[in-house]
Amino acid sequence: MLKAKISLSLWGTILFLCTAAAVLLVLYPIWIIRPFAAQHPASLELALRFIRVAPLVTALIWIAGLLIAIALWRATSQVHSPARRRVPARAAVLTALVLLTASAALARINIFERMFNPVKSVRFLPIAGTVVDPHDMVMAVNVGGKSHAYPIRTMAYHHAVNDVVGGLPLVATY
Amino acid sequence: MWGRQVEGRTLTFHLAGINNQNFLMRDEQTGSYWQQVSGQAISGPMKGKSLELVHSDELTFDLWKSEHPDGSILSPVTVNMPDYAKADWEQGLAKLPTVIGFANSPLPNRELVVGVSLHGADRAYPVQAIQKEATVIDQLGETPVLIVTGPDGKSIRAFVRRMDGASLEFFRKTGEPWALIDSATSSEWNFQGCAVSGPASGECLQALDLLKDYWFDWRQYHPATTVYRR
Repeated sequence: MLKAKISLSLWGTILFLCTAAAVLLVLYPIWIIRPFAAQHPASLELALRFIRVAPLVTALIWIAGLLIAIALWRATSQVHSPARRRVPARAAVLTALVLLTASAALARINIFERMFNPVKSVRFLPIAGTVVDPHDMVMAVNVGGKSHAYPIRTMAYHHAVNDVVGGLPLVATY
Repeated sequence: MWGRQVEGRTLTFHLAGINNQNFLMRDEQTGSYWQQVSGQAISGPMKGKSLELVHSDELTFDLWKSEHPDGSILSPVTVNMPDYAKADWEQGLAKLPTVIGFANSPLPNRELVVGVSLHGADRAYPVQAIQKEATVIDQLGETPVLIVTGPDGKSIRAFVRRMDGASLEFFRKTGEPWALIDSATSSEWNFQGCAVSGPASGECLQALDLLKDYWFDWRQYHPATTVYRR
């Protein structure tokens, strides 16, 4: 009985810290790299570091959290604790699991590509087959006798297009 | 426009963030983060590396078509077309607030400029000023520079105004078709920077890379920049 009580508070704290770490890893970059806010080099650097490690770290935390949650669930079974302790403890464990799962999922999503979908299969059309306003601007590149044009209004949405022109791999960016 | 080969590897880029209203891209192969405007990796295994600039133009579709009738144009992604910028999108964008600014700035933050960088010297040319002048004859460091608006009144190109080691001045020929005339030989030059008639026939000026950008963004990445005629 006493043993179950000690591990409950210890492992409960560990689960709480795991959850806080996973949530911070995911939310800090979202907060720093939000549009219409200034980005400072040091916080941007940290945010990008978080983004880079988040997929792996949140997955590891998720596994650890799940094991701890199972242990806590068992420790708060009817045999070990009364309902007035069991119900809030289990609610806290479930909340932690939901947050851990959400963090691990969010760490795998490129929010910017959700807002502005990438061009998955880059295709080109001859001039005869296109309807671009004659006064619209295009970005244009010539390499090895090949000329590719990227309409600005299209680029202002996709922002980056991976292409190969005249054998040269390049990325058109706007 | 950036080359995608770094140290023998071909990278694939994705839109992945924003840094003071200039976007960040991430490469699939190393997971590094790159600044769009500078082509520099700012985070990840490639940090400190630079992409190679590929010369490109910003032209009206009509003008590009006339120069490259056999060119290819990027196909729109049909499902995303409703979200593409509208014809008047630039006016809307010009009104957006900026998140950075500079003390005693010679230009408003959202002033459109074209920037030229040559051997460490940077200069911003306000687009409005260029379009008012028939030809911009300038000197940036050691290099004599020509900036000119094309026959469509919108497209802008920059060249080294030098032939056989000597600096040339250029004037707009009056009337149609559009042409430039140089001060030394009175030859006629087209918007691609090539002499099409007169003694200089067949000569082409060296084209310069131009970055069309908002003043605040140009200034952020070129802190020592000068501004044309300021």
